[in-house]
Amino acid sequence: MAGQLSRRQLLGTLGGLGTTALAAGFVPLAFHEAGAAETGPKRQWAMVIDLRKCDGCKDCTEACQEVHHLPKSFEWIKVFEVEDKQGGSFFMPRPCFQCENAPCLRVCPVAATYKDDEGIVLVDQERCIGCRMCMAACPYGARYFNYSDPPIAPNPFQHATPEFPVPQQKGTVGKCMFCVHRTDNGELPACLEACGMQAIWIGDMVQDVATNGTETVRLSRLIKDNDATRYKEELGTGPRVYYIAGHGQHLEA
Amino acid sequence: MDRRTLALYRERATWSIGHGDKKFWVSLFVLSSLVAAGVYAYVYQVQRGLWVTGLNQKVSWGFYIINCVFFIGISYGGAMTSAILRLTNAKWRAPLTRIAEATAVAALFVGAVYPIIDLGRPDRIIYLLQFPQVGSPVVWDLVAISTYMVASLVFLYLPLIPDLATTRDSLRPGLLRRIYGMLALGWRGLPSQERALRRGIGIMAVLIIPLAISVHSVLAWLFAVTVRGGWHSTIFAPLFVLAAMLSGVAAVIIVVAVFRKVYGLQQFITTKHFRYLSYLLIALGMGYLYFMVSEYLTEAYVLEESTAPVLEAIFTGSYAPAFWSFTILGLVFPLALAALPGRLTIARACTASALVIAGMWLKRFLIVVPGMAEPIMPWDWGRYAPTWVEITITIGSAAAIPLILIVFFRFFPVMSVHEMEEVEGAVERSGGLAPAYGGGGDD
Amino acid sequence: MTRLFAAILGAVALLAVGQQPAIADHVKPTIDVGARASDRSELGYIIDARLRTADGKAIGDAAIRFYELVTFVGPREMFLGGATTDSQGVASIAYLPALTGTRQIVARFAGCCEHIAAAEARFALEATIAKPAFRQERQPLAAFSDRVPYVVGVLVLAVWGLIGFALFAAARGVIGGARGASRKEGPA
Repeated sequence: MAGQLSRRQLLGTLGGLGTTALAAGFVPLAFHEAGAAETGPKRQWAMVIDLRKCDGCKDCTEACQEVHHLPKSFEWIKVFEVEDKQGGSFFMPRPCFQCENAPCLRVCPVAATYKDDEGIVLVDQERCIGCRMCMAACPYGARYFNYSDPPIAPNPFQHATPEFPVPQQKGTVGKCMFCVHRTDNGELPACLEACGMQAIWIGDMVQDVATNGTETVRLSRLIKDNDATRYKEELGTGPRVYYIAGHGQHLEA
Repeated sequence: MDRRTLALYRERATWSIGHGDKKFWVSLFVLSSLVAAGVYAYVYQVQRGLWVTGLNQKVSWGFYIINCVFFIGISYGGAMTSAILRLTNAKWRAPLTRIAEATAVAALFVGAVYPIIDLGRPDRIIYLLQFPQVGSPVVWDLVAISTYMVASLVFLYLPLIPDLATTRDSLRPGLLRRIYGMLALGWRGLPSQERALRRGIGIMAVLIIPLAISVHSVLAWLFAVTVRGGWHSTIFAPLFVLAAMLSGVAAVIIVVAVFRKVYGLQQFITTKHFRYLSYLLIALGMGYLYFMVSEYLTEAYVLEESTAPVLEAIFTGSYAPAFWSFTILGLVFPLALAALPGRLTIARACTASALVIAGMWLKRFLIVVPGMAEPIMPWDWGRYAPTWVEITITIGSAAAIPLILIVFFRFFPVMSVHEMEEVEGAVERSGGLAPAYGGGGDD
Repeated sequence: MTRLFAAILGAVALLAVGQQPAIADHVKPTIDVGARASDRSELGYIIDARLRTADGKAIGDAAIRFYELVTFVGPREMFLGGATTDSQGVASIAYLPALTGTRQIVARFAGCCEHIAAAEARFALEATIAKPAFRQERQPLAAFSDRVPYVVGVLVLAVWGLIGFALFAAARGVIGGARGASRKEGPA
C-alpha cells in the first residue's frame, strides 16, 4: 500500500544503510599518518638544559626572536624564574619539549601541527586555521598565536616553510622547532649558540650524542650522570627536553 | 477541548502569519540593527586580526567559546520540551513545542557560528572538510553540531507539515499557496499519512535526545581532554549536558512567556504550563547543583597542585564574586524562588529563569577563563577582559535569536495545531512505531 | 794556577751540562689502540690504549682520554671516557656503540710534566655489537585508539542514515498517501 512501509522493508533499508555506512565510513576519515620513525638511522632530537649554569640572562630568548623575526611577546624559548621550596629562586628556560606523545598534535583538527620523522613537532602555517585548540591543550604554554601581523622580515622574498616559518602568518600558531632549519645546515640552534653559559645541549637519541657547542658527550651519560629529569612528565607527554637540576650554582665558578 | 476552542486555538496559532503590525516592524528594525552591529564588529575583526579582542597568549579562548557553549546550551530547550515531553506523553506540551523547537534551531545556528567567529583563519574553514582529523575534539564538534542541526531542522519540519497544510488551505490560490503546498507535501490528514508522519517524528524524538547529549558532551570534551586544572575533570560531559538542559528549559520559559504575551496565546498557554516547566527547571537545577558539589568536593578535598589554584581563585580569589553570584543569585535563589509554595505566577517563573540563564552564562565564563588564565607554568595568572568587538558580537548574536523567531512566525504557526489535535484525541490513531500516544494522562 | 783554572772550568762545564734539559729523557710516546669484545656482552667492547716510549718502555699513571668521531651538526669529537694507564702502560674503557658499523675511535694523551709530549692514535672499530636501537615507546591502548575512529565513523553515518530515513520515509508516506487518496477520489 502506498505510504506504508512494512517492518521488513524498514529493516532491509536500515541494513542496507548500515552496510553502506560501514564501507563509506572509511572515506571521510582521512587521518594524518603522524609520527616519527620508531627505529632506524634517522636522528631523534633531544635537549638537555643545565640549570646549574643558567643565569637568567635571556640571551637565548632574544636570539630566537631575532633569528625568526618574532614580536617581543613570542618567547618560543622562555626563561622562567622559579621559586624553589627552600626559598631561593632559579631560572628555567623552556623551549618546546617536542613531546613524544604531544597533546597539541592530537587535538589539531586539520593536521596543521605534525611530527616530522626526526621527532620535531612542526606547524604548517599554510594549513593552520587558528582555532587555538593546540594552545589550550599544551601543558607547557609553548605555543604562541599570531594575533596580529609579525614584524616585517628583512627579506621580502622569504618563503616560509614549517621548518623555517618566517615570516609568521597572522591568525596561525607558531612555536620552537629546535631550529631544524639551522641543524639541517650544520648550525646549532640559535638559543644554544647565544647561551653564554653553555647551559643548553642539543642531542640525538639514536646516535646517543649531545653537544653544547664546546663539548660533545654521550647523551645517555649526560642525562644519567646528572640525574636529569623532565618537566611535568607525569602528564604522559613524553618530553624530549631534560633538565639537570640546579639553581645557578655553577655560575660562581 | 471542544470544537470551538480548537478553532480558537487554530486562530491564535496562525494569527502571526502574514500579520505585520507596528510592533513587528519596530522589533524587526531594532533587532536587525543590533545584529548588523554584530556583523560590523566581526568584519572589523576579520580585517584587522584577532588582536582587536581581549585575547592574549595566556588566555587564548574567551567570549566566543563561552558564547558557543552558552547558545548551544539554550538550544536544548527544544530537545527537552519537544522530544522528552513527547516521549513521556505529557499532554501539556502541545502549545509549547513549536516555540521550543524554533528557539532550539535559532539558538543552535547562533551557537554554531561562534567557533567560526573565533577562528584565526576563517578563510580556511574548508580545511575542516578536506583534512579532518578524527582524533581532534574540534572535528567531533563539527560532526556532532552539524548532525544535531540537521536533526533539529528535521524535527522542526516534520511536525510542521500538517500546520503548513492548514495554512495552505487558508490562503488564496497563488504563489504563496503553492509554496506552502509544496512544503506540506500534499498533507490531507489521512490515516496513512498520519501513520507515516508519526513514525518519522517518533524516530526523530528518540534520536534527538542522544544527539543532544552527544553535542554538549563533545563541547565538554573540548576542555576535558586537556590537562588544565579546572578542565580535566571526568564529570565535565554530564555537567555540560545538564547545564544545557537547565539553560534550555529556562530559555523556553522566557521565550514562551514573551510570545504568549505578544501573540495573545493566554488562553492556551497558562500558568499550568509554567508550573510544569518550572518543575523541570527545579529538578534540573538541583541535579546541576549536585554535579557541582560532586566536582568541587572531589577536587577540594585533595587540593592537588593542578586544581588547587583554580579552586582558590573561584572560591576566594579574583573570580569569587562571579562564582558566588552565579551559585547564589544564578542557581540557589532562582530555584528557591520557583519552588516557593503558593501559586506560581508567570512573572516568578520568568524571573527565576532569567536569573538562571544569566547565571549559566556566568558559569560558562567561570569554566573557560580561569581554566585558561591559571598558571600552568611558573608564571602569573593570566588576565582577560573583552573588548567592544566581543561585546558587540555577543549582543548581536543574542538579538539574532528573537529576530529569527519573529521572522519565522511570520510564516509558520506559533503553536502546533496538529499536535494539539493529536493530544486531544481528535485524530484517529492506529499502529505506528511508537504506539504510546494513547489519550491517557489527564491534565 | 792552571790546575785551579781547569777545576773551575770543569765545574762550570759540569754545572752547565747539569742545567741543560736531559735531551736523552724527552719522550715522544706512542699509543697503540685497539678493541676487543668484552666478556660481558652488555659492556660491548673494551678499548685498550697502550702508552709507550719510543724504545718500548711503558708509561704508567698517564691519563688517556677516548673520543669517537661523530657527525652531529657538523663533525665533532664525542668524549667516551677517560682512564689511567697501569704499570704496563695500558688504559681501558668499556664502550658500547649506539649503532653498529665503522666507529672511529681516538685515544689521546695530553702530555705530561714538560718532558713527555702529547700523543694520539686513531682506530677504526667495526662494531657488530651495539646498544638496543632507540625505540619510541608505543602508547598504551594504541591498538584500541587506532580503531575507535572507525567505529565512531560508522555510528555517525548510521545516525545520518536514520535521520534521512525518518525524513524521507515520512515524506514519502505523506506524498504517497495524498496521491493514493486522490486516485481513489477520482478527478476532482
